[in-house]
Amino acid sequence: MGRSADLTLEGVGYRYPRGERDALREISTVFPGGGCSAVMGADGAGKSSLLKALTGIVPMLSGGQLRGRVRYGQADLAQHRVSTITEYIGLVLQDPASQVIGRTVAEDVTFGPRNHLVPREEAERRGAEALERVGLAGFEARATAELSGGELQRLAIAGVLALAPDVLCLDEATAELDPAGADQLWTVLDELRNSGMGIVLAEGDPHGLLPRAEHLVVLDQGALAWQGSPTEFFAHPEQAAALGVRPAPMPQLAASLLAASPGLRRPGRLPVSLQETADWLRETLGGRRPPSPATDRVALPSVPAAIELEGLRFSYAGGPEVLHGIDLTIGAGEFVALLGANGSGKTTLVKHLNGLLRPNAGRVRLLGRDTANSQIWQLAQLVGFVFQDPGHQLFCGTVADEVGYGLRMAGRASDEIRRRVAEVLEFTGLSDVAGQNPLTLPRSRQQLVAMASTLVSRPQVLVIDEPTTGQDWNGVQSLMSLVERLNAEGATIVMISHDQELVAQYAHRAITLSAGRVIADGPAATQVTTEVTRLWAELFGAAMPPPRDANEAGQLLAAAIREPR
Amino acid sequence: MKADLRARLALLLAVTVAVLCFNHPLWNLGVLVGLYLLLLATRTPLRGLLGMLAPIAPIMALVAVFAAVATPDRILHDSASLRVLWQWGPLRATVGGVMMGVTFLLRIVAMVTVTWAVLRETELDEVLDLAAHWRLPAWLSIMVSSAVAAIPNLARRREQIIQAQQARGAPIDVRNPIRRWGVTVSIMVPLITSSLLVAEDLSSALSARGYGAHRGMTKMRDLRWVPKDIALAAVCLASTVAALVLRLGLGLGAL
Repeated sequence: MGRSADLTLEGVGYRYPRGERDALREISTVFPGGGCSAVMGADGAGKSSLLKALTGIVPMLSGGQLRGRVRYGQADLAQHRVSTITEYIGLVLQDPASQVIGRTVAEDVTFGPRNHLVPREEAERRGAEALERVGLAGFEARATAELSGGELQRLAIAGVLALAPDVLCLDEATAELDPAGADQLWTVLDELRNSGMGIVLAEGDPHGLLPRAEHLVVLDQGALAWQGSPTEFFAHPEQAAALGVRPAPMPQLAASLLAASPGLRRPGRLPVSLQETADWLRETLGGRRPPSPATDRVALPSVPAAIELEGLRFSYAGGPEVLHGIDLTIGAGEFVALLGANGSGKTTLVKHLNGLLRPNAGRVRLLGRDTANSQIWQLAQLVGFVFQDPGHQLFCGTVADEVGYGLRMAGRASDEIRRRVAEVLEFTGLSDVAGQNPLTLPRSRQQLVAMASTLVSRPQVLVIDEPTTGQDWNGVQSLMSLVERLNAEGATIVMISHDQELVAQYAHRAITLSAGRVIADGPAATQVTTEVTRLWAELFGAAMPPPRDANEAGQLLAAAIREPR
Repeated sequence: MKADLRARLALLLAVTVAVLCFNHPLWNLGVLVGLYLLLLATRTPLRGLLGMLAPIAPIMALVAVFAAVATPDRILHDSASLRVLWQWGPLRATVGGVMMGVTFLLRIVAMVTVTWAVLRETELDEVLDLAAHWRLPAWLSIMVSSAVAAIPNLARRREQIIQAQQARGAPIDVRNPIRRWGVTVSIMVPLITSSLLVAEDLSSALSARGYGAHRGMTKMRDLRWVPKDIALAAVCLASTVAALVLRLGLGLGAL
């Protein structure tokens, strides 16, 4: 395969047919051929619309008028049909489940070549090759309905790769993957890029992008807010945060250290990669070692226990056992993260806490009460759930009605409902949108509405499933600061997350599941691998306990620098 | 059921015609028993069917009860059917009404079962090949097959929505019809919203995979019409004709 051509946007603007504002506003940039480029920005910044404009879906399928021009090499995309463009520029959308076209993996992966009348044997060969590339070789006969989220994501990519495009655009492709799955996907993308394919990624996490992308486009409310080298962008953490982009940990650490050490000479540019940071710190520390991080956040199971699982076994109807005798105690007021690969049993386990699932064997005790004796609606007063997708809950005409739903179902008096709804809207910062339809709010605020509708019942245990999925960084920060406040007020928190940095930053304790068994349980900072923990191990050895996040690391390093050599 | 799609469609036609022709519960029971015997004879694994029937059990029960109390006397032709079994104010259940309720119940079970049996192994290629064979437009077969492929995704979303509402206290199993209606709305609104988003994504995904580049698609396999399929189709078509003759010609199978 030869090197792909440049993708050029010249003053591209666009508004959806019933949109109140432009989704894209006069964007001019070049995604270099054969390179890896990234598009970032806050919720609603226009990332997905931009990727759709690169494949002609916007405006040809979505309607409306596109201003300006999108060119692939010398070809003006407006002169070609979407089905022709996608032979050259492939697009993988955000939600893999909604892109499934075939009933079996083989049917799905060959759909693209078949639309282009590729002969039968060639379509089969291309399908097999694409599946091999994404690690799904041998899955041909599997029903698509039986695939896990990670497998579906890889199938969606394989379906586009089977068309053998020159450029591959991916919208939040790693969002639903566990760390191992994400690493595997990055390896696939590296191989594709080495073969000359151009890659354009819309991503929320800089982790995988920084070592790969040469060109970064940051959007803000549809307009181009920044473009250039990702390293230059992330060297300014305050700039990233202001644009709703998650800052990279190493520059954050350096900024924290510099802020706490006024006499320290500021480097020309803050270090961005782990190696750059390690080199700079070696020179700066001159052999001094930071103190150990405070351990007061590490709370091991205490009395009274909020959650007790004894010999918990579970299998779905007609399926194999997925939880194999789990014994676990979570103390009241703990902040626990549940870690593990896709399909390890995390969600299945937490669904036992409020009776959505009942154990085949064993016992679940919640705040001392055996859940076997309680109905789901009764347990819902004790355990609040914040699910990944707020769209699965919202249905009322106003935010206030939505938040009060649980109380109405519990038969509370209308005065009490009004008072408690007002309280929780104030607590979550949603008072200003109390009368609005929740579905008209941005995704991050919808998530807050879903959370408020849970908190209104004043649960003593709060379960949060993947708080970062589909959320921009500002949304995650708002949600997590609320969770932290609730925890400080005594609520027990159980958080499922693949985001190792988030876990290290907020959780006290991390429990790792693998194939339905607990395989590790201990302080969160020692259970996860983040850039900060890797830096700490490289600089001070594996025996040194790592800090929880970049800010704490900066503070500890500043303390070391204050020590005489 | 391993059979050619044409033979499976003949089965769907036969069962549909039979359950709509007969409104006597015993005749409908006969159709249902015949259908299950056929599924057993063809070694169709029934695992998964219960999962389809269980969620609609309350609706089926509601339909049966409604038919029992709301069947008008004018469509019941003999005095035995008009015998009142139970009365409470304006509500009363006659023997004929209860039999009609059972008929509706059996019809729904038969239709869900046969639809499940026909669709559970339907592949995109089968639909495409059959559409090409019958000279139907390719968009029609893509629409049908992508709808079939989207069913598991929508079923999964429905389950997630039910659990999300239960988790904040929605009493899914409540019997009070007014509260039941409230719970149904809390599930249907997010499901419809979510389905619209899925439809939009699916339409983009179809385009991104080159749908519409040409009028047709590469055929990956050929239809195979073996003697077993001919036999099944023949039995089904004969049953369809028999049902029409028995009901319309001889007046059998009616209440």
